[in-house]
Amino acid sequence: MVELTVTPGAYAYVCTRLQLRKTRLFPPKFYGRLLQMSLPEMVRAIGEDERYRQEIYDRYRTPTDLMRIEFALTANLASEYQGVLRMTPGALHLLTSLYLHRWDIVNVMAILRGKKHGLDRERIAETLIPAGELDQDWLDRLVDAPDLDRVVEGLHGWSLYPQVRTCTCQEMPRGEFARIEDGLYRQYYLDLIAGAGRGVRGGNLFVRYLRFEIDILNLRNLFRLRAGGMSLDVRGAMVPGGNVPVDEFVSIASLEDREKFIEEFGQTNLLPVATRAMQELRHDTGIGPDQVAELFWSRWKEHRTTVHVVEVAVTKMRLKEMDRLAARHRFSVLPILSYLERKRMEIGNLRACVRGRQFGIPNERVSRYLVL
Amino acid sequence: MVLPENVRPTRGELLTVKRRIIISEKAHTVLKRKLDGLMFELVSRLGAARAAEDTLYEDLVRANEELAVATMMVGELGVAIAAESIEETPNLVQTERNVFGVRLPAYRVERVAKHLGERGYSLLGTTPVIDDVVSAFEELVGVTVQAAEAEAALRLLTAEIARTRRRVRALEHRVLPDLHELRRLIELRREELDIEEHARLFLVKRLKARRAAESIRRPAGARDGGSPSADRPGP
Repeated sequence: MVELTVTPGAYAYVCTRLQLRKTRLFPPKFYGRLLQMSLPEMVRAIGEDERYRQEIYDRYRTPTDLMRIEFALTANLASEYQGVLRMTPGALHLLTSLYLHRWDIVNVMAILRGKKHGLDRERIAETLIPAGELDQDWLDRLVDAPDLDRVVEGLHGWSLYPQVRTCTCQEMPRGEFARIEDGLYRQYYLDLIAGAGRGVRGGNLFVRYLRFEIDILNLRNLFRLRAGGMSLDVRGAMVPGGNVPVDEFVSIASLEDREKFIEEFGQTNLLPVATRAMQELRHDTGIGPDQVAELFWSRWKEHRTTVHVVEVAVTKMRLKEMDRLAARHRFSVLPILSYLERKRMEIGNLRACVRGRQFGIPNERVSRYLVL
Repeated sequence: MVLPENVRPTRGELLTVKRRIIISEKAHTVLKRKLDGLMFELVSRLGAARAAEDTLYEDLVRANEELAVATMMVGELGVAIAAESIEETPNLVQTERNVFGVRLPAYRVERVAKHLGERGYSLLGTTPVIDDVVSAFEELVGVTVQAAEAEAALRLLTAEIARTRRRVRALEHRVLPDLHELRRLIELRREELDIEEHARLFLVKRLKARRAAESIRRPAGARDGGSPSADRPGP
């Protein structure tokens, strides 16, 4: 049986190392400098940091090879996550591994879809980010499998295997892959909530953070369903386990009346968070819940998705909250997860800067998408 | 101008030329009407084509902006993975419409705009930026096809107008003047021939008359010695 107990010394060791690593993440002013640079200067500035040097110089060849820089960044993320996995013992390892299942899902779905559509090996392999439980060797074996059935066989032993069992070389109903992927993510959140409750320090706080993340996800998907013509079952698109019950989202889904929408939306715990996010986004503390509810109603009425910059602002707030909790509970699972999230955001920020420069997006606009 | 050697100034040839003139004039009238019709069709389509092009440009800019935001937020990998999830590709149906003998293409795209559930990617595995970029490009496909249809129609109409105008001008400036000239030359030649014939007949007639007069006078002259003025030819 696997030993799940984590000694206080192990908490102190892992958390201290990761807090140290967190201090080495790029500070906000670095992005300000980065946005003033040309594309080759940006790449050089990122490569000058020793954490990225190896991946950048291994993969980045020419100034126009921007896909390579993205591969370099994701490779760095994967190696960093694998390093954290190796570092964490017992229950901490289990929870970190559960948290990183998100990447396994992305990889497995990329392989399954690639095999189904007959993509060549290299095309599939370059989309993989081995940052989770399925390491590079395992993913290589899956990519080398001759057909979809062999891939599914190769996944035997993976904790989410039951969700992908239905994949087959035979004709599959349309939308089956999306249903499988949704099922995987639903199971991912359920496993994560269950895993966080298994005697890990700070686990309960992490569950609170997760429930809030699920609420945001459900709200976002509700808007997407509305914008997409409500062609999917609302309940099927929701993730259970959030603070706001799925039934409440289902009842909001059918609302067409402004007053009722604002009333129902106001009853969820999401309006205060969205209000704070909007205040931070616009640097205006005078923005009230009524104005934010009105903004959400206008998007709802026009059958549009949520505003991306508001989503980014909410993500910033979530991370702030996570950092606050991690600072309060210094030797728990929270500093680990906080570091993993911050690292993911750093990669996202670097990518946004590079891509923003590539597409000629003004710096002010790019900086609104950065999670600092 | 001289009558060509291969054209004989006969009545049959003149009738043929006159028939050709009539046919050419009719063709000229018809072609001019066709040209007017084509011009009208072209002008009436210009506004729609320009609007389609403007819409295409605006939608392309918007779609590229959405793509830029999506690439910024989820990376090119995220966009590529979502793109490879699409299970059904759009179908382009081409038909034709006959306008003044020009076969203009008419396109219809099926299964472009899809509901969220039909797009093939997972709702939980993607973000709303993917929805926005997909919607923008779905719209762009429809607008591109409309613009392509309008531009193809303009190109074909313009080519047909140029061809028809060339024909009209050829008829106006070459074929009809040549035919009229040919008719004139044939008629002139025929008139000349008529005069020659007339003069010949007159001479023959006078010769015959003189000979007849001589035959009558000789027996009488033989009697009274004859008159020298009677042998002088008339005017």
